[in-house]
Parts: sequence; C-alpha cells; structure tokens
Amino acid sequence: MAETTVEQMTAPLEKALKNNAPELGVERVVAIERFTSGLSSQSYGVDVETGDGPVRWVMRVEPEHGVIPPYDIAREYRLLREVHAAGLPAPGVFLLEEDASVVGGPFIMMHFIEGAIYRNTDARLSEDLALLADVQERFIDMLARIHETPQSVLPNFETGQEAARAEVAVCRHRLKMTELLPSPVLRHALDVLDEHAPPAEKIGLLHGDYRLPNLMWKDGEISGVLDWELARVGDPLSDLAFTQTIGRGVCSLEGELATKYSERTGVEIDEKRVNYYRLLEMVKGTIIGLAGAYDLANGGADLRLMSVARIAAAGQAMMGALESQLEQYLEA
Amino acid sequence: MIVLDSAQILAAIRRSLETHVLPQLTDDFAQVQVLAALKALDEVGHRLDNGDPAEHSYRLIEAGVRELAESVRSESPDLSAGLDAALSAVAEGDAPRDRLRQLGESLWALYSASEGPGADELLAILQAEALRTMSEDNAWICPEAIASLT
Repeated sequence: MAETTVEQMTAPLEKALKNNAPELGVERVVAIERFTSGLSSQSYGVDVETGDGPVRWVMRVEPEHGVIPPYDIAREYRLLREVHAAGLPAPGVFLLEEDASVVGGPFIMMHFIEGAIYRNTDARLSEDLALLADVQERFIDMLARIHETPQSVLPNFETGQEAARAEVAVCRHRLKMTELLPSPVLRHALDVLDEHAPPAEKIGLLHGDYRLPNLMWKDGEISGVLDWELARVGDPLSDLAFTQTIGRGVCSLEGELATKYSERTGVEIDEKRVNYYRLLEMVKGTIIGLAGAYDLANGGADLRLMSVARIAAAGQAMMGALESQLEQYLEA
Repeated sequence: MIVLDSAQILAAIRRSLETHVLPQLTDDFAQVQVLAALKALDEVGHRLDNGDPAEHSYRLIEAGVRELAESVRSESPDLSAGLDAALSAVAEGDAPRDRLRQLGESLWALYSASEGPGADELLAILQAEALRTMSEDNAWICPEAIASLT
C-alpha cells in the first residue's frame, strides 16, 4: 500500500484530534511538514490552531514498513512518558493514537523541542575548542544521567550476559525478518556474540542510538534527547561502544572522554567488554541499515534506503577484525 | 515501445527526471528522492550492460565451493559430499537471485553443522564474496541521500 501523503493526513488528523482528544482544544490543523532526517519512523512537524493559540507539535508515525521491525510505538510512548517524568529532556508525549487508519499507522504526538542540533562536521565545534569541550562534557553527563534513570517499561535483566544475549536475539530476529540474501558475515558475528556474551558491572537504561545529532541544544544546555526507539536495558558500555562505531563523531567516548565517563559514573572501562559491544553495535546497525533494502522490496517508497543499505553493508568489513580482537581478549 | 531497447528507455527517463522534474522541485525530500532515483536508474542500466550481479556472485561462490570440495575430499569426505550436494540441489531454471539464495542457505547450513577440516575455508569463501559485493555496491551510493539523513 502506498504511504499516506501529508495532504492525505491533514483532514483525518484534525478530525481525530478533535474527536479523540478534545482536551487538546484543536481547532484546525494548519500544516504538516515531513522531517527528512531519520529513517526508522516517519516524523512530522504539525502546526495546529488551538483555543489557546497556535502551537507546533511533532508526530511520529509507526511505519507500515521500516528498518527496525518489529515496531511498538505504544511502548515508545510509555517509555518517553516515564523518562520525561524522571527528569530527562526526552520529548514530552501527550497522545497515543493506535488507530492506524488516521494517518496510515499508529502515531504519537509530542511537544516540539526548541533548540538546535550540532552535526559532527559543525564548523562551530571545530573552530571553538572550548565549545567542543563543553559539548563533550554535557554529552557525557547526559549519557550518565540516562544510565542512572530507573524505568519500568522495557524488559529488565538480572545479568549482563542475559541482557547481551537478549539483544543478540533481537538482532537475529530482525535479520531473519529482513534478510533478502543469506548474510554469512552477520550470521557468524551473531553466533560469536551469543557465545561470548560478557557479564556486566552494572545494568541500566541504554538509549541505544546516543549520538550528537540526536541531541537538541538551547542556551548551551541539552534541551532534548531524541530517538528512543532503540532503548533497552543492558551494560552501559554498550552505549559507549555505540559512540565509537555507528555513532562515531566528535563525541566518541574513547580515551580521555571515556575516562571522564568512568569518573562521572564509577563504571570501569573494560576494553574487553567494550570490544564485545563494538561488535554488537556494528552488527545491530548493519542489520538495521540492510533492512532498508527489505523495506524497498516490500512496498517502501523512500529511495534513500538503497544507499543506507549499501553504507550499512560496508560495516561488515569491520566485523572480522572485531571478532578477531574478541578472540584475542578471550585467549589473554 | 518496441523500437527502443531497455537501455534507451532508461536513459530517456533519466534525462526527463534530470531536465524537467528535478529543477522544478523545491521540496528537499522530493529532490533527494529524485536524485536517488537517478542513481538507481544508473544501476539498472549497468545491470543491463553487465548482467545481474547475483549471477556473477553465484558463479564465484560455485567455483570456490567446487575447489574446496575437491581439496577436502579425502580428509573431510562428509563435507565434500555436502558441498557437492548443495551445488546439485540448486534449481537450474530459477532466477539468479533465487539460486544465490538457495546456495547460500545450503552452504550456511553445512558450515553450521561442520567442525572439521574445510569448515573455516567454507566460511571464508562465503564471507569473502559478501565483502566483494559490498565493495562493488559502493558505486551506487547516492551521497545526497546519506547527507539528508545526518
């Protein structure tokens, strides 16, 4: 089925907001703008006239297809509510609409977060080292806060091994759902990860996609932490490893920055475990990227996914080296 | 349109999109979709000229597997027979992509069940081909598509 266009969404969305959430005081949906960044779900800016004046909200729609199956936007809604209430600057969600007929999929509505995003290539960061150091400091502090935040929405685990194996199982399931041709590199890496799942010093909430472009900044502070759909519970070193691999950039938490994270949280940087999670994060990211091809083969209409799948496939080149490093640590 | 061959039709579509559609678009998302479509048309054109890459990939794996089957025939007769059987089981009339899938699945199952001599070599054949195709695929990345996401 063809994706619902912005034009097709406006009238049914207005009707649904008026009928199903009268407390919002919606008088008119003025405009809907699709955000082009992000692939996993479709995000839109929604300009609305309410009884209290104009407002801008953000709508995230669970895609019919997509690169992170299986989707559960209702769970994302509950998690966002919980971490927002716990004091993290996650988007403030206020509506979950599970009727897929309104805009082409279940959706959540959240307040628009004011702020700007730093890209890894941002000239402001390369030209102002004091600003870069401040951004890195706040990046670390926010990650530590996430890791310390209690939650009751996501499945919890007793041990690091259990958490790691659960994530490997999720990756294996995603690969099975989306693999168009057998992928020996990924299948082998998953077997290695399953076999060598390490214990953890600590288990906590992980963001799962913690990178600079997923943070909003206002007045020098982080005003928003976005894109929580890969959040899970596990070893915090997994989020660190993510910043060194898929999320690599000016805030990669390695060397001095990793030490700062360790000093802030008390979590020891165990290179053996970090290496394990580098491999896991590479495998996870590669499977998600390759799912773009599956999406296109099954009705998806965003042609950028072809390029995403190709970039993701390139991640396979690193897996052999990461597996070898893991074996070396095990032998040491 | 029998008077045009497939490559000519693709080239005409490409020129139309580039000349008449792309310059008229003001929406960033629509623009990047057209740019990605142009890249995809180039890839299809390349396939028309050079054949389905799945067929080439199949042939490379097949050659490696035949060589491996021969080299382990005395020390790993079961694996050797399994490799021969995997090649024979592929349906000749199927599309190249389906044949590649069938062979890949059979060989992975064989690798997963093998421990003796030849198993690592089999994995190496499969992984090397995955990495080779990955590197060939890089030519068809649309940089604007990636830039729009980061």
